[in-house]
Amino acid sequence: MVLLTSEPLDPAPLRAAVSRPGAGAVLIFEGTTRDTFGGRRVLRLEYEAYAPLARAELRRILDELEAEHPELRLAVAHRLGPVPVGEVSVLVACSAPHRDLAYLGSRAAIDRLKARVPIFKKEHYDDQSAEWRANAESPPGDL
Amino acid sequence: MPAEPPDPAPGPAPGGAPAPGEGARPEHVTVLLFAHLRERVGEAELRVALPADRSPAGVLRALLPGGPGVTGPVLFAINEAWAPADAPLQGGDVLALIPPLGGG
Repeated sequence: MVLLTSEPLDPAPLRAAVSRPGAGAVLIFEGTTRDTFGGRRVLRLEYEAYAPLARAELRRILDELEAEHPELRLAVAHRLGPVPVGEVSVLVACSAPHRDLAYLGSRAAIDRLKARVPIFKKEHYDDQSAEWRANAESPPGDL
Repeated sequence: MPAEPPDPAPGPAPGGAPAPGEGARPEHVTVLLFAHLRERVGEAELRVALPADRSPAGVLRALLPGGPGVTGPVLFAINEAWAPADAPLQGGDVLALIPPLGGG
């Protein structure tokens, strides 16, 4: 399951999507918006996506991980538009027969998302300024 | 997808064959812009003539003469698939100019 939405994120459908009788571990990772960046006070974040390619890239990441580890099941949702501080911007649900693989899968999914999915983040600060903020994992680019 | 904006470039009437002695009708691509690239250019979607080298890099240079140095790195996608900066563009392609990623 891959979801991009401007609505607040609900973990229940993702948990349901990865749940199955063979799972001995289910992990839900919630990425939330933090109230500071580099000492500046953040009021809200705003996400934008190249939605068709973002959905396709998320699907590829989940398919890759489930191929690398056939016992993993993964689901991802990302919120778009304004996200107030403290709310969830990204959800990763992961199930596996044992916890080690569930932790590995959850971590790998969010790491690959940050490095590969065309979603963009603008931070709005309390002094009325705003900046587009890149992930450390973002690729160097062709130009 | 929004409707294609009207062709701003002068040229033969739509559907008309090029007049004798003129070159072929200029080919265009649709360019999608995001985040700070969208804000710098002032549009989320543009129709632009293919540059001479027919490359995504050439389109970026035409839109941002200051060069990518002022914008940070740029990635490219053609028709919703990742593509290198020197991929050959065809008329009618949709080229996305993708700024640094910030998801998560």
